[in-house]
Parts: sequence; C-alpha cells; structure tokens
Amino acid sequence: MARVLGLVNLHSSPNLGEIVKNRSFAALTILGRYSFVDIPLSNLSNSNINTVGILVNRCPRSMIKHMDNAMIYTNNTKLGKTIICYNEQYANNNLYNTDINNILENEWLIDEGKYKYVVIAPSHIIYSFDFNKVLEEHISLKSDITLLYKRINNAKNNYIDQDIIDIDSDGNLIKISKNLGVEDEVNVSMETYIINIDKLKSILRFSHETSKFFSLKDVINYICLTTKVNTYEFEGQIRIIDTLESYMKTSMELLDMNLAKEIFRDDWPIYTKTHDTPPAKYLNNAEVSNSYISNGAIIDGKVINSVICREVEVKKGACLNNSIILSNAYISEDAKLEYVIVDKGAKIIHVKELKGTKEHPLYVGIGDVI
Amino acid sequence: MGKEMVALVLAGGKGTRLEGLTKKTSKPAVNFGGKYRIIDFVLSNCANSGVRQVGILTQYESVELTNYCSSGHHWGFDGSNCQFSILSPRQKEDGNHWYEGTADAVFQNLDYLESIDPEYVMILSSDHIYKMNYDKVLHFAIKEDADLVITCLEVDEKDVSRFGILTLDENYRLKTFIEKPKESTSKMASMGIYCFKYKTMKDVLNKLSKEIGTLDFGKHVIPYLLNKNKRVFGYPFYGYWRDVGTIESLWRANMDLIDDDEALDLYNHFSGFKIYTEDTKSLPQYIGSNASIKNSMVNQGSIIYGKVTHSVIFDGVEIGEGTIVENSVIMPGVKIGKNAVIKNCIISPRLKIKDDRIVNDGNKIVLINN
Repeated sequence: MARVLGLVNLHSSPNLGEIVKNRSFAALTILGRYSFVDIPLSNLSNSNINTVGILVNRCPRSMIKHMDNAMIYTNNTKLGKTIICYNEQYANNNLYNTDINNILENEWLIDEGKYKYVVIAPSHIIYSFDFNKVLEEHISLKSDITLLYKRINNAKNNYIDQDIIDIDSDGNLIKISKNLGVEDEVNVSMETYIINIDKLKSILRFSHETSKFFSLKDVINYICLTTKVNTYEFEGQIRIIDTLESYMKTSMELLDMNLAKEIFRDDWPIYTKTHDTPPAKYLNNAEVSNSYISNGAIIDGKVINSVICREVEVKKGACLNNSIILSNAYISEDAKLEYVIVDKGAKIIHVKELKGTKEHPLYVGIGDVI
Repeated sequence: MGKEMVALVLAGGKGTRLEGLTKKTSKPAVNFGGKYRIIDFVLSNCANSGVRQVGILTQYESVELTNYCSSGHHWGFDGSNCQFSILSPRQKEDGNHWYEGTADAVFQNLDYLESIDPEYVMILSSDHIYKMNYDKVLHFAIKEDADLVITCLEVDEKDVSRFGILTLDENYRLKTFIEKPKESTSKMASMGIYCFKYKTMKDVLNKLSKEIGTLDFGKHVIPYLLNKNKRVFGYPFYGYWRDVGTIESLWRANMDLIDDDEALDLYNHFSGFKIYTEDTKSLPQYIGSNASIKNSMVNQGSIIYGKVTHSVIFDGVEIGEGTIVENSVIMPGVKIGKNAVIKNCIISPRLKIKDDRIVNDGNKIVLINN
C-alpha cells in the first residue's frame, strides 16, 4: 500500500483528568503493556501502510518518548517512517489547536506526491482492523470520503455523548451528532476516515476559508450536506475510552480472553516498545486470579480482577481488587486497594486502605508516595 | 572501548547432552529462564561491557540462531560504530573447511579479525549463564601487558576433572595449566573465556597451525604460550556462573532464578546490567480465575488456568484448568490441556500435551520431547 498515508489523530482524544496531566492520552497504558497509540499504529502497519504521521495535540514529550524506536511500527524502515506532527504555534491555544490546523502545519507530508489516499484513525477508539478491506470498497465505489462506524443496540445507557451518525439508504452520511441516549440502536462513529488526498487538500482549503476553528469532524459534518460521504459498517469489536470510568471499565472487560483476543489478535500483532524486563515473578504468598500481569512484576500478595504493569511490586499481605497498577509502582505489605488506578512509580506505603468505586475509580498520581 | 577489543563468540557447538532440545537448533539458541536464550547472556555481557565489534561463530544447526541474532538489534549492536557479524564456516580457494574445535574456528577467521585489527580479542563461549563485565578483564590485560588472560573460577574438588585447571602465582600469573586432571591441588578452573593480545594470538595460531594442524586452546595454545614464557594471567571471577550442558543442569539453572534472588540479579532495576532478548509480540500473561501460581517465573503471552508451583513458564504457554505443573520448565508455545499433571521436567518448545495426561511422576528430571 505504497500509495496510502496513515494519520493517527490525537486531537479528539478524551480528557481523563489528572492521569493525562503530563501525558498525551495516546501514551497511556492499556492492558499493562501497550500504549493506546500502539493500536492504530499496528493496525496501519499490519495493513501495509508504511508511512504514518501522528497528529499530536498536547504533551508531545510523552509521545516522543514512547516513539523513540518508531521503527517497530514500520514494515520497511527505508521505505516507511513514523513522524510526530505537532502544531507548535497553536499548542497553547485550544480553539486553534485542531486536527485541520495540525495537518496544514505539516502539509509537506501530504504534499510529498506519493499518496493517493489517507487513512485517519484515532487512538481512543480501539479495534483490530485491516484497512485494506475498506480501501477496496472506497476505491471500487469511487468515493472521496469513507467514514467507519459501528452499529450498536444498547446506546440508551452506553456510548453517551459519543458521535453517532445518520445515514441514508445508500449508506451516505446525513449528519454527525451526539448520542443523548434517546435510542438503543445507533451508529457510533469510529472517527476513522478514508479520504482521497486531493479531497483532503480541498477540505483543508475549504475549512480554512469557512472557519479556522473547524475540526475534521466539523468539516465532514458540514460538507456532507452537499458532498457524498460514504460510510462503512465495522463488524468487529470496538471499545471507546472517553472517561476515567470507561478506561477502568474497558480494562476490566478485556480480562475476558475471548474479547481480548478479538482486539489483540494472535494473527494481527500489536507492536510496542520493549523495556527488556525479565519474566514476572510470583513468590510464595502470591494469589492471582483473573488478571493481567506484565513482565518484571514481582507478586507476593493477592491480585484479583486487576491489571498489573511492568516492574510493579506487590508485597505480602497486600490485596488488589479491580485495580490498575501502572509500571514501577510499589504496593507495600497489607495495603488493600479496590477500584484504584495507581500511576507510574507511585508508592503505597503509609495508607493501608484505598477504595474507589466502579464509577469513580480513585487515582494516585505519578511518583506519589502515600 | 571502540576498536580496542573484538569479541568472538563461539556458538557452533551441538550440545549433545541436551538430548532432543538441540536436535534442530544449536545449544546457544536453547531457551532459558522464561524469556531468554542461552546466548543472550554472553551477548548482553558484551553490550553492557561496551564491546562494539562482535563476531558470532556458528556451525551446528545454525538457522534458528542466525535468524535470532539477525542484525544484533536485540542487544543494541545495530548502533553506530558497532559491527555485528555472523561468521559461518566457508568454502575457500583451497577447499571446504568446517570448524574443527575452538582454536581452529578462531584461526579460520583471522582474516575477519585482520580487517578490524584490534588490540585485544575476547574469545567467549556461548553456553554459560552468568553476568560479567569484560571491560574489567580488558583493563586487567592492559595493566599487566598480558598476552593472554584466562578468566577462572573456583570449583568443587570433585569437579576439577571436568575443567582445565590453572595454578596462579601471587600476581595472578599463570604457573601451570592442566586439562581435565584426575586430581589437583588447585581448584581454579578455566571458564573458557580468553582475552588475547591480538598480535600474540595471530602469531601463535599461524605458527602452530603449520606444525600441528587442528588447534585447541587448552591442548596447544596455552601450553605453547607458557613454554615461551609469554605473559599469561588468570582473572578470578566470583559471581554466579553455570554450565547448562545437561538436562539436569539446565533445569537446575532455571530453578536458581526462582530460588536464589542474588544468582543473576535480574530484578535489580538500578544495576544497569540487564539481559536483553527478543521481545515477543504478545499480550501480558493472563492468569485465570481458578489459577494458582507460586514460586514461579512466568513470561508474557502465556495463559494460565491451572496450578503452577516452582516452575518457569515461557511465552505463549497455555496451561488448562485443573492442570498441575510442579518443578518444571515449560518452554515457549507449549499447550497443556486440562487436568494434566506435569512434574520435574523440561517440556520442549511448542509441544502439545493432552487433557488428563500424567507426565513424569518420578523425581528424576527428564526432557519431554514428543
């Protein structure tokens, strides 16, 4: 797929609060081992899309750090590349800091003349997908724009505030709106687009002339009144992370191996950075059930329904329930944690009981000693 | 360190006593410690000691090993100023030449060494498990203006007949060297790690090969150097060092990682002396609801529903519900069904074990190979 450019769009990433204070959402850990950005990058790479730009909206440090060996996402490191695209001039101006302005700032990438199509994917909507399937349809229908969506049947209580789309009988986009929980059956936008490069260029110009605050979604929503925007129904599993609660919920749902193996497929690997940590070690008092444990962890306590990242230590008598412990954290003896997210390098030493709820997980910040 | 030193890693051996494990692969490529291969230790030592030129001498069943070593990137040898070469036996103008022993293998690659023209050459065996800073050996060699430094360690009296035994004077200068003596007053055994002054080595190998033919370090080279009163020294090593030449010793060294924290100090985040290896593209390990794991090491990608005690589990291993694994080493990709019993064994890679099977209820450590 030499003629396809990939863009990972972080501009619509959710604000999960404290946990993304110093990092981009895309750099946050999922399942103890990956960063969210690994998922779209691997989907693109596995689809043979070799050159990818990451549209970073904020906290570029966390992305640059994670991407220090970007070669792992590229099939051929001479033919392909992974580039961090950042919009320096609007970095501190939320209204102007849009995906459209970021692409314009880094327009050289799409101007290279090599590409005919662009695949744009977010990092907070996770799924496993071979983009060639939608590209084939996009090309055969001679579409200019194709938007991926997932049909769901429980939207009254789920996916609230997510973008949903109305489509006509020919499968063309009518409008994008918010899910207010009125109906159960809706089409959730996956914020994943296939766009012809010439169309993208004209969208960029049009958008700039219409409103400098427009995001890609705004433009698509605007132009679908006059232009055909094709849609493509995605059949597989998706999960959308938009709040700390849904981060927790998705992590817990993925403890179901059957679901996990649909997003993290054996034949569709997710690439990530290695830290060369030894295998996890279980000591004499370890009691682990229904959990993910990452390498380098040393477990001597009780871990239930939890996700343990790299090089975490859980001491004897400690008990973790429904919690996410990020890398290098330390859980001292007899500490009891329930619905807690412990960020990297934090140490739970003096406080022996921490309790959040499913809806409001407790958060312990990076490196905090409590 | 730069071009001061080249490391030659002897990786051509068959490892006959490892039975079926080395049927289709060479001993250095045999899996070890849940995540590693035996050769990772010597190559990580090289990387951590600042060695930048590494040649791997392969011969027996080298496909898997060559694939694994590829560009040396697992150990960082793809960096600038590094040179990483796989040196296999080759056809030459005067005929075909297999490597006939260690010194002969080095002799046949003098042209490779000549192209780099180092001050010192480190000859390393690739079938031992240990951590060592070769830079210290090099500094010792430079300080003593040594022609050869042999690293050695003290062994039990009953084991002297298995090693080349050194006697040293108070300045660590070599007085005598006897290959596999029936008994000896000295218990200092050669570790098969030689740091040669390149010029001396080149001259000696060239001279002796004309007189003797097939060369051996212990039998020919060291006695010759002693005879000529060259500056040969011993360098005592006091850390953890294991030869894993047999099924029993391979199993034992795996268990050492569980039983003895100090042995290889793998979990010390601050030592800066990591062992590097391949990163498999797999999820973190998943531990099921009714699983139990104690006193064990488990690598990413494994899925465990059974009961694991005092065992080392490699990547991609699946252990079914009700299955008991005790005192065992389960190599990569092994799938074990439900309600099986596995005790005191090494299970070779990718083996499938059916439900309800009882594997080795005896106390002798065995390799399960088919």
